[in-house]
Amino acid sequence: MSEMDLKYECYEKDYELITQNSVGIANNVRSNAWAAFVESGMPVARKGNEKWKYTNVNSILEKTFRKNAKQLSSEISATSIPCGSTAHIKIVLLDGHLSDDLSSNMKAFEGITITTIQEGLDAGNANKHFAKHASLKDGFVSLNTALFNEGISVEVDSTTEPITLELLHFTTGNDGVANYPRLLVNLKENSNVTLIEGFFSNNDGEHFTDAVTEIVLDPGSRMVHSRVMLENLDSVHMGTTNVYQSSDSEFKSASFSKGSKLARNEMSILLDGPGSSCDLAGLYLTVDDQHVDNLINIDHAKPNCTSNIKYKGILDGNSRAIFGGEVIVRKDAQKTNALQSDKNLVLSDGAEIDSKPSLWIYADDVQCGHGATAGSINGDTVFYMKSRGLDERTASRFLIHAFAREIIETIDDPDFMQYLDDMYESSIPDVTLNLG
Amino acid sequence: MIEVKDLKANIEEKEILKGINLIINPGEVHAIMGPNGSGKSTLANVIAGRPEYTVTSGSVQFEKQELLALEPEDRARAGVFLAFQYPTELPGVRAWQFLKAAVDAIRVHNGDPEYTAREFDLRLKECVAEVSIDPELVKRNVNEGFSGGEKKRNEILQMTLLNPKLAILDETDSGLDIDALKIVADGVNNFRNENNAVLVVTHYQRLLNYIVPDKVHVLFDGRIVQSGGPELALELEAKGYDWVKN
Repeated sequence: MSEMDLKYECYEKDYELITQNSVGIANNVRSNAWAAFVESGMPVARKGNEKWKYTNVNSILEKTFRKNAKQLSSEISATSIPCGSTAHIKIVLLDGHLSDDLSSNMKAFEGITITTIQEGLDAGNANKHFAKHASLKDGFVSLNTALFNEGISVEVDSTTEPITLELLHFTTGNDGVANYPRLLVNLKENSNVTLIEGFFSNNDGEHFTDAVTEIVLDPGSRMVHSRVMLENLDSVHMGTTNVYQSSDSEFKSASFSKGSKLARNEMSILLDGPGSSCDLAGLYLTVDDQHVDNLINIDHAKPNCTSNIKYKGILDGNSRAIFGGEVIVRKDAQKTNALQSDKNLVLSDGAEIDSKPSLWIYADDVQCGHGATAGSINGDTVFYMKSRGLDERTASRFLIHAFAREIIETIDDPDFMQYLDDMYESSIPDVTLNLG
Repeated sequence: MIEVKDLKANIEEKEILKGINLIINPGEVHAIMGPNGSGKSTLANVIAGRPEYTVTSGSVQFEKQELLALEPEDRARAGVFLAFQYPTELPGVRAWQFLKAAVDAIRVHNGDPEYTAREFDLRLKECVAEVSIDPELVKRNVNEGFSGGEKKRNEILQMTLLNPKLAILDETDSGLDIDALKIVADGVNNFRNENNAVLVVTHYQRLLNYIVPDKVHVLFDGRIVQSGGPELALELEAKGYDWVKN
């Protein structure tokens, strides 16, 4: 990529800095990843690239994004996600640096080992899974793997009681900050964890988050996962979540996005053990000129697995959202149950949704279905509400909120659900209805 | 209470109402009957303010104000209620929240404070008991997955709860079995008093056995062609609508 060197200069500088300052196995991983990134670059060429067909990441290269080499500030506005009245671990990272002051209970529970990935690699317990599931062929994964700071590695023993793990990533500082959150979670046999990943801005600047999460579920384990994307409306968020599921494991996930000017939320699930299941819900709200791209890959590699995707979008202004669902049912994956749906409420003429659920089925004894809808607020419905004394604004807010709530209510934790409900309710756009 | 004068209305350039004149006084129940396509439902919906219809002339005076100048929600707040022929499902909208918002909108319009949750709960329970509706229905989403009969009963519940000055029932009897019909009729009979008025739009005389009207009007081709007392409904039932057509 010699021609493009200049565009990637800021990333190269950060690569040089991080490899000067770290030693051991991590540096080998970083140099492999950097070589992969140098090879591929960011996925700017979209022609023939289905994965990036609707999303142009060129704008990232128009700006210089540098890491905050040191933790700048612990004075983070007290943002927290209310959740988990039971055993609860909170991990706060500022620009990828672990904040001891803001984190709590990291060593409080037996059977849960939390280290930095750097430590985990050096101690030899993160090697088995780290960077084994997220593919370095993906430019944002290789960039993250080369540049992440300490990263967080979590290992949960079989004997552990159910626990909630809250991981909050803040990008602080001024304009042009890059942040590479990296997480590895391994649930051992039959363990049970709730993981909430939250992404926030602590500045109004244009910043770049390139996040990678790898989750490895051993047989019989269960994870309830949420991904909450609330970064500021000038920011860029490229997120990749890879989940490896062994037999009889269960992964229940919900993504909530509201922030970012340009966002990508990619989830890849490999159902690699019989009897495993995943349930993926998502809610995206886009306004103004936001562009939010959701891509989900589910690979049914083994028999008797189920997958269920249920996403919903609310689009306003000149925003654009993308839903791509790619479900593959391999030849051996008999008795697969796979469902996916994406429903959209389009509130303005300027907004656009590209919804593309797809299924490739190579087994014959399966039950699969997919569907996508896009609609606006129904005039009859609004008239019914108006005829009961509600004004148009109240009526449309009722309907939009109700539309969103179907996804919000997939959250079992009542405090967390209320937090999400309040957040979306307060963000419902005021729409001008054109009811003729 | 309401005076409709020379009301003409179109839908998509087609004239449906061709000059309706109607006066309903407080304490009265009027029935509008007529064959399919005569304009009965149009009249009900034009009074409530359904946006698909264009009023081309005439006026509707309600309690000394021009109803046609008001938005549908302002008509509702002023005291007009339409029980829909096909009540709309409100996907995901919880009945309790919706009904409270509706009641509060009217209360605020009348200068009363909004209900507290507890006050509203009590009021809702009273109304649920009064119209013999399954209490589970108000815990669900508005009309979502309701049977036809449940939807109609839910309209009567809303009428009771909102306590309008003028209630218009648009073919509320259609599709109801005899038990549901009695529940609807009981709801209306409990509702009616000397200060309010009811306009019952129906195709069949059957409902009028249970809700006895003060006046019956026969609508045909966008005009009221005959008016009379309750006996007119029976005469129509006996002779059929061909009788008025000719």
